[in-house]
Amino acid sequence: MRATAFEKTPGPPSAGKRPIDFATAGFVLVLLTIGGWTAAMPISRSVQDKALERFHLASRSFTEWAMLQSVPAMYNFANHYCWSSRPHGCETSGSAMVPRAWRVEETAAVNHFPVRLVTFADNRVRLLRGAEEYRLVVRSEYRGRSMTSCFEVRAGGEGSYVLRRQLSTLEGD
Amino acid sequence: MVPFRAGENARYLSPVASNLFRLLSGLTLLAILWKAPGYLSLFPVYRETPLVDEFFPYWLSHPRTLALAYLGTVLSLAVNMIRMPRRFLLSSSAVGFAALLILCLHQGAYNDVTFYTAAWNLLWSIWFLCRSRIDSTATLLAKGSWLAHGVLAIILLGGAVGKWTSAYWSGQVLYEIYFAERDFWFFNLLRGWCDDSTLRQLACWYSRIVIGMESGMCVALLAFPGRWSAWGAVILFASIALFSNWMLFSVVLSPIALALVSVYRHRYLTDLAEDPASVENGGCSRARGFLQILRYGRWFGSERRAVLPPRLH
Repeated sequence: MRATAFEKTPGPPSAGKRPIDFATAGFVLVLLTIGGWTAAMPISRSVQDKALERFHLASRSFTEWAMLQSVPAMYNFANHYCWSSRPHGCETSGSAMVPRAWRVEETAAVNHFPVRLVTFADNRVRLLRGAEEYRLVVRSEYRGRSMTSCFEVRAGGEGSYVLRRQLSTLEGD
Repeated sequence: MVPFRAGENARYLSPVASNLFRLLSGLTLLAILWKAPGYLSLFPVYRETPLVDEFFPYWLSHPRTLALAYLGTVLSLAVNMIRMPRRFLLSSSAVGFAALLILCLHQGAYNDVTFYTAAWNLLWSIWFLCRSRIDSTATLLAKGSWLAHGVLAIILLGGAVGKWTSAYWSGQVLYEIYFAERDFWFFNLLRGWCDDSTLRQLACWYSRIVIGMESGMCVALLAFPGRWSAWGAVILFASIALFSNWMLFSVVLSPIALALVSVYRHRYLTDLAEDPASVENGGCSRARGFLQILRYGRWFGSERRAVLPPRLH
């Protein structure tokens, strides 16, 4: 009887089971997932392709792109753009960003997210000067892998413009 | 030693925890407001020259969503500066985090890293307020500084890894972006001193130093989770803005705030060892002037804190 009573005696408060710290564990899991994905970029071709597609707004779905937005990408890749008001088709290939027939009005390097040339408002006033149609070609390169995308920017009425992807090609080793 | 208790921050944050929280929220708010003049000039463009893009959902390309999310972030961070019950602060931080997620996905702001780094701060704040219910201040600061180092390492890793490519190693990318034409004091000075070939060489070494510092600091933050690596991160982030672009302060102020968590924790432990009573009162009896603001986020007198009602402690 005494033994049973001893077994039922509660232990000191500190001897109780320590609760699991779910908040910290969750935070660490998020860090490990994003860190692992980021660290894999130099060696994994599929991760590189996903990152390049993200930069060109060419991910398979918006959800996929939104998930990839959690990965830090400041000043990533060598990004260039060409801006033209000649309504030619997009026949970009190889190292030439735009066909020679195009009249390129502006070309430069961009730190990251090269399509921001038109999606971000700071360049819209300068670039969209009343013409009906423009072409934007963007190219991003990373460790021998490159992606070139061609966009049509067409006047949509009431001051609006419509951005439409015409071509996106992944090339390289 | 002051007997710090688990759950001491459950209703209201203790003075030490509260001051750290407000320091973080204040610097994040400053980072967001740094971009306010720019976005105020951009909103009319978004409204008058909208860009229809089928990639983004309609509501994530609408200028009103952008304005509301920006305003929501500012209000949430401003509310976090007020001394309120922990649950209110948690709700406010959750709203701010949701608003920042919207900004990170919005057509008109997804490319702006300001919101990305600020979102990490808000996520850290949510974690901090969740754990405040259970952990003592000492445990909270220990875990918090460790997580802050993790976040900083991830941000730096993302920047470094994307530059591990020949175009950055040769300096070509940064030459084109900064050295060739950028109107900024540092590059204007270099252009005045050097010819083009020297400028290219400088761009090459500038680029390699950036890659080396970002990569090295990422490792240092994980390997040495103390205040010295945190100070190193503060210097690195500040130098990025000082030598590249003033507007980058909007991006780097949030990571600088996270790095200060470790610094704050060290000061807290030092104060605790030297003068426990001052720490229990918010650590204000010894701190003065700028150092006081740096440590605790504001300048206040110890007398007022000492007579606060018991529930605030």
